[in-house]
Amino acid sequence: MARKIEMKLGDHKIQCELLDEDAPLTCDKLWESLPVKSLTTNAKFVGDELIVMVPVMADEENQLKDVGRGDVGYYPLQQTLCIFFGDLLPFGFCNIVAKVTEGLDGLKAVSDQVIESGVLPVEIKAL
Amino acid sequence: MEKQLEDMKAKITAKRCEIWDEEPAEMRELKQTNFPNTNSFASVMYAYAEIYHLTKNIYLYRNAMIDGEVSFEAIKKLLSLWLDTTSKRYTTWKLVDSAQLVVDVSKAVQQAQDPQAVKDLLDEFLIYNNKLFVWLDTSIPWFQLGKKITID
Repeated sequence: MARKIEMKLGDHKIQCELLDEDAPLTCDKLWESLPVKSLTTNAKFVGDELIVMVPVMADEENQLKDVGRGDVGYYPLQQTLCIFFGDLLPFGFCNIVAKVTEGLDGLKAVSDQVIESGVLPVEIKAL
Repeated sequence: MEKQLEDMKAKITAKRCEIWDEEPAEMRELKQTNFPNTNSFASVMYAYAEIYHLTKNIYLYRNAMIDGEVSFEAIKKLLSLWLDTTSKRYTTWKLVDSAQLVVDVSKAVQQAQDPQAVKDLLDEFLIYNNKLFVWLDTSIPWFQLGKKITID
């Protein structure tokens, strides 16, 4: 059974399933770091993507650039989770570590709020 | 793990925990710089570039060391040169505490004998500097600026 995490971005909650088989090392490190408090902002050069820094250093693994709506990536250079909520092509390759299973539709509103305010608080916990 | 590097890594972890939830005081100093003609805007943007390039280079050297593309001794030398240069620039932008940390990491790397210990140290230092970067990044009103400023 897949491990699940919850991310609260501002007032909006999403649930994600970790892709333990595809990115086991990154998933383990992320899981061990929880619970985490952080901040989210919008990706600047790609549209429908929110980013969240986590205190996790993982190597490149299951790297893809062709991501889909609801994929969650981890960008090793900046220890950042990338939550993709639209059809887009990210700036670079990232480790695909999770899939959003609940709350995906509300992320556009979160993104609009971030564009207005610049940043929102985030809490990530294991379920 | 080498004792000196282990101690240095623990020091960085403690510093990272300090700045994780609360913006560091030095960041506020940076944002209050008052240089002629630009006030704090240019110093914020230059510091932004400085932190970005430090993290990118740490990551580059770390990976080259793991892959064995460059000798351990060469990595140590190149990394220390880069760190020493960056520490002076961090000081210019009022990031005094972080500048001292950069100096300390440079010294520890120069004396290191174990690549794995250096990798572990750099991983923690990367997270620290990226958190600094996030504090700066999230204080710049990118989305408002982007709509108002045209650069010809």
